Amino acid sequence: MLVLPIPTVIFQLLFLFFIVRLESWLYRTRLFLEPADSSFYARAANLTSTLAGWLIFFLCLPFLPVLGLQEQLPNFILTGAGLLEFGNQLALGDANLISWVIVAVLLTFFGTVFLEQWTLLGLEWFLRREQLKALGARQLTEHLLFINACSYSVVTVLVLLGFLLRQPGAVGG
Amino acid sequence: MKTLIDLGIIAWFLTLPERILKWLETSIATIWGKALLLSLFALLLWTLAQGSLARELLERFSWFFFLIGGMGLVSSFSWPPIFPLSAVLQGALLSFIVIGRWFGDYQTAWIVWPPLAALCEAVPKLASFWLDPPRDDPKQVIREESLLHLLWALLFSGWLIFGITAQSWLNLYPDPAAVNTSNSAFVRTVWRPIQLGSDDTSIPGQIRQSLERAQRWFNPSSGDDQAILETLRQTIQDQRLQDPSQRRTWLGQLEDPQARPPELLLLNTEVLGRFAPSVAQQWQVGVDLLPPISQPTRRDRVRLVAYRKTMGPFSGPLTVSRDCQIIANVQPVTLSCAPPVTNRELPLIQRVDPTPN
Repeated sequence: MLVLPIPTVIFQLLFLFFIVRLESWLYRTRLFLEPADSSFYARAANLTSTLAGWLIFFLCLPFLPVLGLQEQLPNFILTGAGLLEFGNQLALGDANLISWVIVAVLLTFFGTVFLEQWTLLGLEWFLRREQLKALGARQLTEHLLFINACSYSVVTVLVLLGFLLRQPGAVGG
Repeated sequence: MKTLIDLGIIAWFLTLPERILKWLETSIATIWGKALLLSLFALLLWTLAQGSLARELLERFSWFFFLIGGMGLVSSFSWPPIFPLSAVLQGALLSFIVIGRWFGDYQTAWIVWPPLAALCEAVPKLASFWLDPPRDDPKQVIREESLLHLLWALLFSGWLIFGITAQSWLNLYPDPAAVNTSNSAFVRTVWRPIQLGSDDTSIPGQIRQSLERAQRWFNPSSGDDQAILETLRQTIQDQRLQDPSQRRTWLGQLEDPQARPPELLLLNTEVLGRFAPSVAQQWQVGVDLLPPISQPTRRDRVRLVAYRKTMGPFSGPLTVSRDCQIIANVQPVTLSCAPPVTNRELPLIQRVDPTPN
């Protein structure tokens, strides 16, 4: 039996498509980059953060037994089992679970912001440019916090939309 | 099939001079692109060919055209518009031959292929600045493109690794074929083994037709299948069971999975030689020593399994087999066999190890 990550690829491409469009526009309006440069920076920064996410995921795999997830995570990824229970526990207000979710979301969000900042500065160095230098590190961080807040909101909306459409009884679902 | 592929490869090579002369009339860039396409084509054929001559020919051919394509990296050849495809092909060659063949790790070869392809594209472009600095300055654009291609290639590798990891997780389940991925947001199953049971209504039409054809082909009640099994039984009885020392050796060999070649030799030289070559082709034999169900510690039952490869929507072999009992308490020792049976499950051949004493 052959298992292919087709939904993963499709969703990731879809998210990247929307996020790059949005962030490209935000880079242009908030960081005052040229249209071509803003598009390149948005693509490079988001691809880098996506790759970092994969890297962290693969680095965590050997530690699944330590975390007690050596069966749960594969089962969840392969069959989708546990998602409903997870949602129910969140809805019931499981304090422990909610704490973990908040910590994970914050870590992911701020990790992405700082990674994108380093990526943009690295690109400036690699391409011998000084477009972001005028902004200063603090202002760049503030802009990136806003930009990523927007893109995370879009992703959250897309995920929720997809989740709702998959529910039994949903329109076309 | 393999012989046909080998013959096809050699025939194709014979037409090569004419093809090259035709291509030489086109621009040098097109030739370079085609050289790399030929190189990949040779690599793909190399994976299919079995004959040593064909394999060596293909490997040299593959490297030859790879080097011709690679010459474009340091010469004054103009970059053809199909360069990204060429880079993909170069990456494939490097990855599958160096990592796959030389190091025997085809899984890593798949993973490394995309970034290698991106590097194959980026390095010569960047290197060309050192060799021949351009007048205008497209360096930034090329650097941007190369970087993005490398990032995309690495993301592609990430998907490949994720797919391989998810595939390996199937082993956690007692019955991987029963894993239902229809509710997963991450993976999908694209192929399931087809269990051919008694309920033929569940079998897709095309496969059922092929199965019926194969069953007619393997019809144990008539034709050569039964004759081959009977001849095999007779040969084993005459050659393996009559002499006590040879019998002991033979029974010992049956317990050793590595000792199957003597039985293949027996089948090929003694049994199939009596049949027409068209019948004798593609036959294999399995002889297993099994315990009777009532007495698991006694291994006096022999399963003779003769099978041949089929071509069709399923690639597993169909078998015709018969269970035989060694009757050792009479002289001469004989094999008493039940009628031949055609197996219908896939995979059909599984060695059943005797129950240890």
